[in-house]
This record gives sequence, structure tokens and C-alpha cells, in this order.
Amino acid sequence: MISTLNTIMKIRGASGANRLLYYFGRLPLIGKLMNDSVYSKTSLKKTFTIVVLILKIIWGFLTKFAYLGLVVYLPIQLAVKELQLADQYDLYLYVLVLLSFGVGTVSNAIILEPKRDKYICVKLMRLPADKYMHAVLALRALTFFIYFVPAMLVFAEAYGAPLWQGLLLSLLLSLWRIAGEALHLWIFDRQGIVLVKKNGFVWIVIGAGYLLAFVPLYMGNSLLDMDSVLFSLPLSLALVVLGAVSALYIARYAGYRNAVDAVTKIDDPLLDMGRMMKEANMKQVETKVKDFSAEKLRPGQFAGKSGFAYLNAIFFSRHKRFLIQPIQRRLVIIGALSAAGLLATYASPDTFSKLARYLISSLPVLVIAMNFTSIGERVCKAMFFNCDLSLLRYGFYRERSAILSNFRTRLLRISGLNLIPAAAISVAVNLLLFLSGERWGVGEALSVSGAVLGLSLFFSVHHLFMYYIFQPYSTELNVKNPFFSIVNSIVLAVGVVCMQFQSTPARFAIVVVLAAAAYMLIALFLVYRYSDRTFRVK
Amino acid sequence: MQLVLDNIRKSFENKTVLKGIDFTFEQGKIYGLLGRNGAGKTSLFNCLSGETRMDSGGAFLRRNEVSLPLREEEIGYVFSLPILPEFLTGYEFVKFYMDINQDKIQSGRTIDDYFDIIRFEQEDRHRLIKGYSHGMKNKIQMLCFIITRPPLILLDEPLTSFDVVVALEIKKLLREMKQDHIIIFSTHILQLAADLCDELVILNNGVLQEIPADTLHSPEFEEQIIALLKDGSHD
Repeated sequence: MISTLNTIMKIRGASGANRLLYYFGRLPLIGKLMNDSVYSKTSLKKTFTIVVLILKIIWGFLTKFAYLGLVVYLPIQLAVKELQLADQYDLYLYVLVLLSFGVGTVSNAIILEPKRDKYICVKLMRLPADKYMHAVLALRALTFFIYFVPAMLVFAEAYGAPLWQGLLLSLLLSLWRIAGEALHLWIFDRQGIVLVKKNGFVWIVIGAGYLLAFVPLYMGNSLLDMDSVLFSLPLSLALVVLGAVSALYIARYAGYRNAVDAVTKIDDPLLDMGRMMKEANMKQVETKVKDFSAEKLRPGQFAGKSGFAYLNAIFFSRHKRFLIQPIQRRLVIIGALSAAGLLATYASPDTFSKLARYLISSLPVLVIAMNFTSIGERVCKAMFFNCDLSLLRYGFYRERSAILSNFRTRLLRISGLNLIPAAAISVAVNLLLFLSGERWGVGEALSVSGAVLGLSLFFSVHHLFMYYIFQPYSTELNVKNPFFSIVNSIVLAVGVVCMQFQSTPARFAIVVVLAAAAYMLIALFLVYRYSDRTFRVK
Repeated sequence: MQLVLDNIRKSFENKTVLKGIDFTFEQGKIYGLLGRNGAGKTSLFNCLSGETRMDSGGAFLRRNEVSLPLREEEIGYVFSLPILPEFLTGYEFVKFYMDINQDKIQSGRTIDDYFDIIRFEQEDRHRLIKGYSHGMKNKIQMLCFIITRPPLILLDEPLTSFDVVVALEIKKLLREMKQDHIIIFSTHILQLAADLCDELVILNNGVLQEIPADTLHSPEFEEQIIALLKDGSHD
């Protein structure tokens, strides 16, 4: 078993070291010092392997401290600080039993966990499944115990409990968890059920467990004299026996090959977080074949259009999901809010006029509101993945005139769509303020409407401008370009800063319209000037 | 018409893939570009098509003693993995492609005429490209250069995905077209190269080498190529 363990540790160590080197190479400045040849420098890699191992061990101890400290100790401190230490200790033990003995046993079992490591060692490296599982489980049981001991001792000390209780608790918990692993294996053996993959069940247990664990904090006592029960001789002995029997079952179990096969199917997304993210990202924007019946695909649908207008007409009509639906949803929300406002004018004119005054004084909130009302980011993502990603490989599509003509068509479409909710918002705001009895003249109404429509145009240009200049997406659809996020955050930050200013509607409108116009001019200029160079698949 | 490659260099990170490509390709011939996996065939094509920028050197088209830099629209490029906008039907894509390239199309053929050339089933024309097989997508890509007839046609591993019948059709098509074009297609299938090509060039060690035309059909052809390709891996 030791040699198997050694092999597994070597594989893990090497991939850990490679990963560390990889991220190191991505660091600014220092990363430049590295090149691909470092991956073949064995002595350097050995050092890195040891560094990774040490980091992992430190991490192991730290997570236990963090868990006991942040999840168990801190809430008790916050909720029932005034209780006696002994009562707090009872609560501490109670929460711990529910979370670690209860929830953890279901959600955090490793025996049937889908894992890359398992796939690599058993499926690719052909390590015998039973040897692999024995080694991994033994390591897990041992490290689980060792990592918990210091933290358990420290927190026992913090509650003034004897230290042996901390030690015993670590041992009992480890034994219990071995029994838990055995139970998972037994259920799999009998029913063929992989419990950790039953997401619904796992989440129900987690929810119920946490609820049960923290409810007594409000009541202020733990219902049971926890320490005298938990550390009593009969219970401890029972757990020791249970742990031993379970360990024996796990050691003698004959069907590990099946148990490993069941959770290491090559297409299991859980094995590969990267791929899971990628698929989730793509699902968000993909074209769905079943959305289109055969007659929708017949020619003649878009007769009369040609070139980029034709392309975009088809694109927008086949991606209504990202265009029309979000707009409809926004209109429903705006409608509901205005209806609620109208209801308030009749039901409670007092609150309503307060609300109206608040609305007038905080018009800059509209900047943030319009940011969320405007569609654009997801549309750009859909454009990239479904359309530009493939067409940008064709020379004619990369030509300046093509890019610009495409940009124009898209900008008109998106602006047009965004103006619909913007118009709805300005009608709703003006109507409500007019009915509120506050002073609200034509001048103010026009200013606010102008500002809302200006902001709507601004965000339409903004999203498309960002897409064309930074082209942030990679083929996996994760954002690659740091400037994209930076500029986006700056725009949002400016919006937040705007909210701090008090001003009259007219002044607010002038500032917004001027700022938006300036930004749009710069953005459009940059797109016309540079997009043929920046708008590429990276 | 000639395609002149002048000292094209390209490296990725620290790996130099193209170490100064010098070669002249002639109109009316089909060139087979042979090379082992990772030799840089696709990199060379990407450099020519403008997809990636070359580090130095250049590609020129020479017509009647006048050399001009190769422009993107003078190239038809068929990717080994066909990449097409999947939300369109094949018909719509071809219509869009024809709209955009109107000025380069001479014949009075209709969209359906073009589909007939590549023997594309009537009902498949109006299905989303998303549901097309690899071979069908490849046919659509071929159609692109059949429509615009660019002087230089690059095909990256094109025939490997076709069944025998379609492969034969495409081969015929390429032979019919070759008078007016320079056709280069990369492959690592020797038989295909020997069968279809008029000239064979080998990309090895980052440089292009011409294989004498008479070896192409000689009995020792295979051994000679293998020897050449092996040579490179020793340095």
C-alpha cells in the first residue's frame, strides 16, 4: 500500500507542480522570466513538488481552523456571547455534530466521488482500483484525523474544556466518517446508487442540517448536555467498534473496479470543472435547433435583404431568446412596478409622496437602473459564439468595411430594442411623478426622458464598443482580456459615484446627455478607427 | 501567375516553426504539401491567409512580371475543421457569401446551381448547418472557392473526411479547376498526394523542399519521402 500511495503522491505532486509553474508563468513581469523549458527541469520540479506538498499540508491544517472558527465558533460568539462558557461549549458541540457528523457524512464522502485524480490513476495509469482506493482512503482517514487535532484542541481550550476532549472528538469524528464512507459504499453495492451525485438529496441534507444546527442558537440552548453524552464511555466505545467494522468492510470490499467505473466516465462533467464551465457558458448562448421548424428555414423568409443586413436579420430572428424575451421581461417588471406605484397613490398617498420626493432627489440612480435595463452583454456573447467565431475565419469578414457595416446594423438593432424599455421607464416615471402632486413640469419631464433615452443609447453603444474593441471572449467564452473587465468596472464605478450627487433634474439631464454623447463619440471613433485590427478571434 | 514566398518566418513562444520559407508556386498545378504532424503546415497556411501574422518575410502574387503582396481576398482557404456559422442553413450561408462577394462572381449561376455542383441533397440545403456532418460542412467550404474562384486555393487536410464517392467528385473538381488557380493542399496521406498532385513539396525542419516530379510515380517514391521526413527529426 505504501508503494501505491507513493505512486499516487508522485502523480499528484507532478501535476500540482506543473499547475503551480503554469500559474507562475501567467504572473506579470516574473512570468516573463519563465519559458516552457522549465517543465522539463526535473530538479526544479522536485523542489516545486515539495513546495506544493508543504502548501497542501499547511492548507489542510488551516481549513480545519477556518471551518471550526468561521462556521462553528464565530456564529456562536455572535449569537450567544452572554451565555456561560459551558453552555456555549454545548452549543459548539451540538453544531459540530450536526454539521460534521451529519451533513459532512453525506456531502463530503470521497469513496464514490468523481475525481480527475481517480480517472488518471485508475483509468489512464492502470493502477488496480482496489489498491488505489485503499491507499487513498487510508491517507484520507489519517490526514482527516491529524488535520483536525490542533484545531479541535485550540477550540476546546477556548471553551475551557479539557484538552483530551478535543483529541477524543477528532478521533470519534474520524471513526464516524469512516463508517460514513462504508455506508456510501454499501448503498452503492446494494442499490447501485451513488449518493454524492444525487444533488437534490445532498442539498436537502445540507439545508436541513444547517437549519437544525443554527436554530438552537436563537433559542440559546442545545437541548442536550452534549459533552457528557458525546464523551461518555458507551458512545465512544460504540463509535470505536463501528469505525473498526466499517474499516474492515472497506478493506475487504471486492468490487472497487465497479465503484471507480461508476464515477469516472469520460464524459462526466464533474471530472473536469473547466469543461463544465465551458459547457454552461455555451448553453447560455447556443442556438437551439429545435427552436426552428422546417418552414422557418425555407428560403424567402428574408427575401429583399442581402449581405450583412441579410445575415443580421437571420441572426436576430433566430436568437430572439436573447433579444425579445429579456426586453419582455423588463417591460413586465417596469409595468409591475408602475402598477404598484399607481396603487400606492390611491392606497396611501402619504407614503407615495414620500416615495416621489425620494425619486426626484435620487435621479442619478437611473444610471445604475439603465445599466441593468439595457441588454447587450449577453447578446454580444451570443454574437461571438454563434456567428463571429466562425465567420471571422474568413478574410472577407475581417475586412474593415465588412466589420463596420456589421457594427452599424447591430448597433441600430440593439439601440432600437433598448429604447423600448427606456421609453417605458420614462413614461412610468413621469406619470407617477405627475400624479404625486409634487412640482413636476414639462421641463422636468423632458429632462428626465432625455436622460433616460440618452443613457439607453449610451449603454447600447457601450456594450458593442467593448465587444468590438476588446473582443474579450475566447473560444471557451470566458473573458480573456483584462481591460474589458477594467473598463466595465470603471463605467459602473462612475455610475455609483454619480449617485452621490444631488442635483436638479435639468442639470442631471444635461450632465448625463453630454457625458453619454462624449463617450459615444469617442467609442464610435475608436471603433471606426481600430476595430478592423482589434476585432479578431484570439 | 505565380505565388512567391519570400523568407517567411514564424515562431511561437520559443519554438521556431517556419525558418525562412522560400518557394515559388505555379498556376495550373496542384501542389501537395507534405509534412509530419506538427511540422507547421497549418501555421504556413494561416500565415498566408492572414489569419496569423508572420514574423518576417512575405507572400506575393506575380502576374506578367509584376509582383504584388498577396491579399486576403485572393485566397480561398478550406480549414481541416470546417468552421461555419451554425445558425444559418447551408442555403442562407451560400446566399450571404454570394451577396458579400458579388463583385468577384462572374458566372450567372444560381445558388441551387452551385449546390448541384457539389451534389448537395435538395432537402439538406435548407437545414441548419449545426446539424450537418463533417463532410457536408467541408463541401460548403469548398463551395466558397468554387463561387469566388480566388487565384490561390489552400486546402488543409481536405479529403480525409470525405467518403470515397465524394472524395472522387472533389478530386475531379479540383482537376477541372486547376488551370486558373494555384492549388496547394496539405496532407500526410502519401497515396492521396501521389494520386492527385502534380508537384510535391515537403515541409520539414521549418523549410520547404521540392520533390522532383519524376519521383512522384517511381516505385521508390514512398521510401524516398519517408527518408526525407526522417532526416529532419535528427537535428
